[in-house]
Amino acid sequence: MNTLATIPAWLKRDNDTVSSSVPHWLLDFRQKQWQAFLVKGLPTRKDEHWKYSDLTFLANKNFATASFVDEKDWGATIQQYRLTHSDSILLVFMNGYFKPHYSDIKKLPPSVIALSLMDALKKYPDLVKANWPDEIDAQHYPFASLNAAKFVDGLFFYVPDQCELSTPIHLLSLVTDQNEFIAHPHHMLVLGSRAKLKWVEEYAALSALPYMMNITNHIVVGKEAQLEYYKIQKENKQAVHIAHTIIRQMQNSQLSLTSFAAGGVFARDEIMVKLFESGANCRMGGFYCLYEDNQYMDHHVDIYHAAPHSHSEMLYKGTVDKKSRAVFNGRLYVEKEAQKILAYQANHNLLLSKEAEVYSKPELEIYADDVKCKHGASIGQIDQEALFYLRSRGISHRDALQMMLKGFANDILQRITHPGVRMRVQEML
Amino acid sequence: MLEIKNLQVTIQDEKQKTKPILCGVNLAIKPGEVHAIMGPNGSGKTTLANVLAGREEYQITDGVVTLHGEDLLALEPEDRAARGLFLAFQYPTEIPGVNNMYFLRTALNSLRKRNNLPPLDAADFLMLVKSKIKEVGLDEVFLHRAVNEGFSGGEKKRNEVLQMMMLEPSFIILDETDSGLDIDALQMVGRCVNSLRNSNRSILIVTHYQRLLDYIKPDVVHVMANGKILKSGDDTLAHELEAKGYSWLENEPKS
Repeated sequence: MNTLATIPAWLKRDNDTVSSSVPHWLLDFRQKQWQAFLVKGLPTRKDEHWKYSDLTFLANKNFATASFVDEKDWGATIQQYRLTHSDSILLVFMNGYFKPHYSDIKKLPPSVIALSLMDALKKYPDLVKANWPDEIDAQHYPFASLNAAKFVDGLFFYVPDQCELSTPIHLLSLVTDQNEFIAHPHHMLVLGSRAKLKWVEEYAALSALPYMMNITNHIVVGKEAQLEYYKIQKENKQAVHIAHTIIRQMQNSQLSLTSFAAGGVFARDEIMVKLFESGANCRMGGFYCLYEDNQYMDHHVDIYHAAPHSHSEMLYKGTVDKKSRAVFNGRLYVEKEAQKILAYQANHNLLLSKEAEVYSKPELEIYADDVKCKHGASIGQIDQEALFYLRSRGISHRDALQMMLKGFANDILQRITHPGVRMRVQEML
Repeated sequence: MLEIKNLQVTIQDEKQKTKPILCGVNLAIKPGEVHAIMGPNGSGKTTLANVLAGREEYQITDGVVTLHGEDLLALEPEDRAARGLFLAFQYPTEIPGVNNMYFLRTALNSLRKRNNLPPLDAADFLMLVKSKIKEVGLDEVFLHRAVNEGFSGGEKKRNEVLQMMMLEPSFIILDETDSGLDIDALQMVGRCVNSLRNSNRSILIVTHYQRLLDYIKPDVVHVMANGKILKSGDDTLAHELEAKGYSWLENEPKS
């Protein structure tokens, strides 16, 4: 095997980070993941899963480990990112490091645990271990392996059984002006049974310098728990954003995940939902818009139906302009034992320029025989008839186009129940 | 008000062959007048309406069109609307995701802005749209739906009339607004158009049938065939056509 050959030197540096203060089981896990990453190497376009992702540009980078020097007061800047219209609980990350003193920890109910993952490993080692994922498939998700091996911080957020939080949690990731860094935040979000939570994860940059975010989220949605999850990704134009979100759903749990992405020069979102127990439902939605030359954005959504009577829905839409490329890969996997499944999967794209490209691949892999699954994909252009109709009523070409693009995003936008989140997303689009 | 001189228009068909549609149309409509254009299928009536509104897929090879003395053909569709031109479409387009009320308000305020008027605020707009939607006989739920999406043929036509009532244009073209309408809807169109009729406003009605003209009495009736206006007269011409059909005119030497 051509080991180590496809990894740029700066990514192979073992300067580490693998701190001795973590428990043994985690140290083992990290070392295994590191080895797996080194053996696998960076994926190439020969990997089916990475067919359209050209990572060769990473060879020319030299991203150093992220650091954050707290030399100035970011308080006022951070407040500008606070959601409007209603209360929220802000949890702030700067360059991938949790910043409790900028966060609203005190606004949380006392039964909720929210702290740095490193601290959680010391204070609640059993709770962390009990919810730790099993293996990561390094073959498919090398960057998740890299994250597991390299993470130095992240959030541990635990909502105990029966606890319902009505105020949304706003996890804000900001980037300051450190040049050419890579951060590997590793978050864990655990909802106990019948817990209820609204979660807003936002990525933004205060600088225009290049950097790389390699994020992993581990989420457990307990029995009959409900999670409403939003992700807003507007990294800067030079940023690399790779995120893995691994969600495990228990019996009768409900997940609604809606993501909006516009940022980065290279962005890849991998979401894996595992419907482990019967009655688990997930509703996935996303909207992406690419407005820059050479922008690349990739969404891989995997839903794994492991139990009967589980439902899933996937609706992703995007507008792709200039010389940019978007990829959507939705995969639905239904186990043999998972009967009485309802699943829907769709991806619709609008090409706004002649040079824009979209690769859409909805996949179904079904081994059960009593299931109802539908899927579809489309790639089209702006409807000139509709554009003319609007203009003939006195609406300018520009406004008419904006109305239609907004109209195209509308069914995804309508999924946002929080007015402050909707406002933030509308500003971005 | 509107003057069309020797308008010649062609279109590229699927085989990229140039096909003439309008072959020298002449028409003059004065302020306050209502004209009707009748004619068989494929005679160029809808093309004429679309060319006036500014649809781009046609090639104008010759001729002049002026509205209030200004070169209409040089204007973008939105600028034509700002000059008071309005086309009620034969087949109104569905626009998914665009809320009908939001669309109406944007259109009205865009036109007001172009004419240096302040925008109508939400409360005033709501009052206006609620009174107008009653006049066209549409339920208010249609305001909260996407523009024309899933509307029946009749509902789409009523929505066109609603836009006309809201925007109060000074030059109105109705392109087969009557086709596919029941008697009640036809009466509503007649009522609404008549309510707008005044000495400054002109109306051009494109239709196959004389029915609508029973409700809106035209000053002049034109017969169009093969891309030309063959005959013009008063409203008795419409009755004559209804009785005899079009063939007698097409065979008649040009008057």
